[in-house]
Amino acid sequence: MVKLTIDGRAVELTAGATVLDGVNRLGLPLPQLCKDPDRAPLGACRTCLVHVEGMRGTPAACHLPARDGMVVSTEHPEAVRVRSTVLDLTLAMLTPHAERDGFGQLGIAAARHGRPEPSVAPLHRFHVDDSKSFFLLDREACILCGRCAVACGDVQQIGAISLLGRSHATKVGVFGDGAMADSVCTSCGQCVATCPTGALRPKEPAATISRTVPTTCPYCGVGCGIEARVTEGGRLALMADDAPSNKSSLGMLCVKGRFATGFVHARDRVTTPLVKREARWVEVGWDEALDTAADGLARHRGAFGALASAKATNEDGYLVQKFARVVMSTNDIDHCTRLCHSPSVEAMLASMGSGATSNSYVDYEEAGCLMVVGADASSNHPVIAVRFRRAVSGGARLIVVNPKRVELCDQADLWIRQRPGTDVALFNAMARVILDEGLHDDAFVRARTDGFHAWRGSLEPYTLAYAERVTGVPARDIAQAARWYAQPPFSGSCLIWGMGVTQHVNGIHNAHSLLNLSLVAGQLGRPGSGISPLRGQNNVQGCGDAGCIPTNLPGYAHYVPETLARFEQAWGVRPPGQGGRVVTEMVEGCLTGATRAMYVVGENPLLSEPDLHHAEKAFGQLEFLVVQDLFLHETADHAHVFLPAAAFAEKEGTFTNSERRVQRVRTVLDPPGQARPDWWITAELAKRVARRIGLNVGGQFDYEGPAAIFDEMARLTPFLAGLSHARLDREGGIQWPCPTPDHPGTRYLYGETFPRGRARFIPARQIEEAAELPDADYPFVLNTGRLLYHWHGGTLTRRVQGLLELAPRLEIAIHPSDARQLGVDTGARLRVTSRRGDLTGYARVTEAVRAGAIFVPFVKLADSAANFLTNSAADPASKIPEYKVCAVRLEKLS
Amino acid sequence: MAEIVLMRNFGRQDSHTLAGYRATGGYTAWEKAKGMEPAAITEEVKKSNLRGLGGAGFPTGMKWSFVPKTHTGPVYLVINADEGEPGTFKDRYLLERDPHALIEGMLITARAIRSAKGFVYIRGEYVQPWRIFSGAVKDAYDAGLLGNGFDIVVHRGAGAYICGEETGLLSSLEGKKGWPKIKPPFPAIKGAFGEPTVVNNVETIACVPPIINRGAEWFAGLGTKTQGGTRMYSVSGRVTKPGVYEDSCAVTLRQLIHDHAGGVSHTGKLKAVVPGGGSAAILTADEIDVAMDVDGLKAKGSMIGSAGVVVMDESVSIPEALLVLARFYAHESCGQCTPCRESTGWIYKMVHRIVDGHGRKDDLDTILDVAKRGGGTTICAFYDGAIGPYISYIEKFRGEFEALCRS
Repeated sequence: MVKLTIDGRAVELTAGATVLDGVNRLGLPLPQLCKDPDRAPLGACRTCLVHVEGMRGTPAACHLPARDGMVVSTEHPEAVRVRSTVLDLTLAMLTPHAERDGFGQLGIAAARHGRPEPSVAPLHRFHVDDSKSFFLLDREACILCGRCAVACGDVQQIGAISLLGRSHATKVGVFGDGAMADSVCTSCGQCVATCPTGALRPKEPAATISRTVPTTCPYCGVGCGIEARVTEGGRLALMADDAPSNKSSLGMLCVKGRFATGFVHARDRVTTPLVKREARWVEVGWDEALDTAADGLARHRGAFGALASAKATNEDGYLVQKFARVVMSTNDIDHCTRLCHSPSVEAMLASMGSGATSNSYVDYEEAGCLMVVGADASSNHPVIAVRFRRAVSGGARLIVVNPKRVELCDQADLWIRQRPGTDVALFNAMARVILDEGLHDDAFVRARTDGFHAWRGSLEPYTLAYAERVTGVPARDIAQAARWYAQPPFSGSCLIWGMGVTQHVNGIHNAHSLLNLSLVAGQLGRPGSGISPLRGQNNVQGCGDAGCIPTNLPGYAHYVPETLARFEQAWGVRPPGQGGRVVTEMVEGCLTGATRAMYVVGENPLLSEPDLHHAEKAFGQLEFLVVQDLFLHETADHAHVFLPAAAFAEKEGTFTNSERRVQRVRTVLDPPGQARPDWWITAELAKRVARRIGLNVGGQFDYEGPAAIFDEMARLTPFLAGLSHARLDREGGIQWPCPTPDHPGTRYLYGETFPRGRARFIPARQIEEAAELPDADYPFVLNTGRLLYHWHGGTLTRRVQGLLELAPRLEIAIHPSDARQLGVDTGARLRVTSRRGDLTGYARVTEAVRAGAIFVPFVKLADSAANFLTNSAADPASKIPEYKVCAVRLEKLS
Repeated sequence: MAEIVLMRNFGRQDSHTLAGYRATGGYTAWEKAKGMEPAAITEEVKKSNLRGLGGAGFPTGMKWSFVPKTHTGPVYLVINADEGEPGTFKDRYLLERDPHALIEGMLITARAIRSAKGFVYIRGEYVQPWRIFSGAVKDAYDAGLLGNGFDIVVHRGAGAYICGEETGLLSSLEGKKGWPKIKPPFPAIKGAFGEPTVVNNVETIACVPPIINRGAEWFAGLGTKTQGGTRMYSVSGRVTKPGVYEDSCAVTLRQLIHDHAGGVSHTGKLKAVVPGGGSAAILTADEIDVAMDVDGLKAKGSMIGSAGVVVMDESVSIPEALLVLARFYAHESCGQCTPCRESTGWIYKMVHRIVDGHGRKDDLDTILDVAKRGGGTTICAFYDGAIGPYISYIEKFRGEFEALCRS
């Protein structure tokens, strides 16, 4: 600790603190334009000048180390005089203008120093760059403090903007001094949030912010903290702020978290319960809607399935599965994990006994090697991609395994471009290299695993020569990847994968071959290492934890007598004792009559299921469908009752992110109209159905609120037992397992042991590459995935104007050689046809895809959606459909 | 006149070759140093009173001793050959005519600070010095002098004066924009690539072999009480024999101009002298009986800096001379700190206006006011350097400026 005096007041600071820290501790009004409170000092604006007894000149407080006995004055006449000169020079850079709103912090500081008007005029004039959809760059309000350049370059590691040129001709700009829209800018808005003068500002009229509420982003599984800002008019501001104290996001956000929460105000938001009469929606009251829904569901008990939502809260999901199991007496409850990571989860459960990411995001930054397989994190998990880039900046090796040239390839040390569907051959060959070269972790294998010898035997055919032939990857690259992964230059290795691994008919084999690699190299269970299936939805981890899966009860409890008894004691009703049907089976069941009624919460299967024409036919057969959501989407069109739910910003609860961190979701706004929180709707529905079937559920569905629901879930789930809303409010997000209230949470799993004791090597075989391969009629391979600027099928993001401007139409990525043959250029209209359906879009000619392959995002833009084309053929073990490969043909449209 | 040490080999045709350097006793100091403990080398340099000859005059041995002894990672030696101070061209002569003196000095210095890697940051415009020095480095590798525990990387600048500022240089070396860094931490603790780094000027390190060979006492005896050795003066402008001259730092400015450089040319009548590079305050004709050391020039309100002497005779217009410098500072300010970036821009604009005949007399006071208030407010010393000329040119030759102003 150091003790010093500032303006006559004593202040005590920790070693390493600056004088500015002391000034701010005392709340003194010293200007500090270039100092972002959460970043290292830049020392550029020179406005925090102070006087220190015994020191020459007027040092800048922001980078002046605090020392014992220092006597500092912010009010010393010399400091004030020099500071006001600097403020004068700073003000003189700017051109006043009505929209510029007083230049933020600078205006305030200048007024305090009696400098409302500068004594000289600006040396330069600049045009406004308004080429971006969400914000603009107004250089005439820019003081060149450099905070935006740090935000872009050091924080987000994008490097789109920088200070161009030198001396007084310096300006903020992009490479080549073009428009921001033509740069590599990803619209993350980190620069806008830190700008002290409003030179970078959101494109919306200035509004007074009446309050900010810390909550959790509703988009992907990274789980970034956001500070929702509410205007005086009671709406969310266009731009949300980041939350530097959030341990998962460290003050970062991507374009969606920062600018795309406005969908809650969409004009077509449904705010009244609806019942369908004579094929038309009729607005009704809650009682009538719930009674109609309860009547229908009660009628079809026994032929019922429920789809919970990975976008809703843990509490919401927990109630949906409780309703299915307790009232509807079925384990036919599932959610979208089936369509993304079920092979990963099944494989991890078999091999280790837990289906979660083993490490934390911080481990990516500490790792010496990152191997990213079949994942386009820059588009789908942008803030995790930042942490990859930081690792690379710190010297870590980055291996990208992907048939498509994803953005991460630009930073990779090694890009392995295997033929689609040949992953097992690749990873088995890597495992052989690790063993043949003695790079494996023998002690780990001996002490912590089973099945090693049988597995080793199964690798016999996977020589480098074989793998090179099958995968098309040069043998030396495979060997190099194996060496780096097994023995990184420092620390450990993290293995990260996405849908490119799982959405195949051989998904579970792919997953096993990856897990085996991590086991043989011993790259898990310590800092800087681990295995990470990147979760797509904001709460896909939590939805599974809460029991919205047919294979397990909450907390992944098995259907064995002891656990069934435990749940019976808690719920008053014994849950069914055998596994239920997964979503794809429920949908198939619609056609056979096994499924007659469904309750679909916050999901839009008629955009996300494969082979949509087929799925549409199936949903059309349902006798009764209840949809609970924000919007009347494709699935809702088939519903009989629509229950309008509250959005993420209108309710209390928790989300659990990809690193197992349980985080609070808070009420920022009241739900619009009659919309209600999901948990309330589900509880009401459960009580009404129970009454109709004569089931006494007592007070099982009477909750005071989400906190009470969480408490019940935590009591039944040992790895959540130490958590509660109150604790999360107090301490911020906590990573499970957290078994007791004094447990700090768990950064990484498997440090000592695996849930199943020893981990198991499970041999993986290279089977056929895909269920449907190209042929003469359908000569191209269609690959699907997501975009940075749209979320999933686009139900939310199509309602955000700025995102539509960034990605307005469906683009079909096609290799130049194929484009030449078809005679198309970028922008040409194309029709893509598979055996199941077709779509039209616009060609984007790029070498990012392989010759013979095209990529179409599955977002629905202008009536076209990729999933009309995809194949419902599924991995037999995990039932995941093969979204990543199907055969199509292309036609040029005039 | 003092003994010639740094320029001892300049007269030889083959002074830039390894053979030529060896023929005059080159690399014998390195042989000797290899038998010395690192601490003993530093001690010897401390005793020699060698001070940095790039501009700041910091005691060299002391700088070396700041490198943490317990550091286990790499330590770097960086040679500042980004000679950009207006009126200064001594390092250029050393790089061209005695490159092995620098290499030998680096070998010895590296041993003292336990560095395995050195960087030589050469000003981008110095094409010929770069070619010659790179050739010498290659020869030193071929001869096994380099590559056996010490490597040299030659790095070329790209035309920014600020990269001669030691932390700006390090930023540039790291591949970033050449912006000076916030201190502390100082380079000796956290320098290039985050590792402890000693940054020294070319001429400074070229002094090291003679110190090791002939002893600290001998070297110290060549100079004054506070600064040992001799140094190289770049003399340019209105003199009969412009060039680089070596002498002790006890030499006076008058001796340099008259005895070494052959006296004032053109009108033959001295008007003003810049004694230590562009950033040194200007001296009038009657201020030249001053010793060219730190204290002597400080007493006159100027500084020895890089020892670049620029002589102006009666026919030189001081406002025009200031315009040249003001343009230079406005162009070379890195743009990082507001006071420097904006003030240099504004002052250039105002001086320009005055020289163009559109100035007002109170412009002079505005310039003085802006210049004086901005002092000591910035990350590096660039702006403090610019202030010296702004103030001294106007205060000492105010009449000349006023004559150009409208009343």
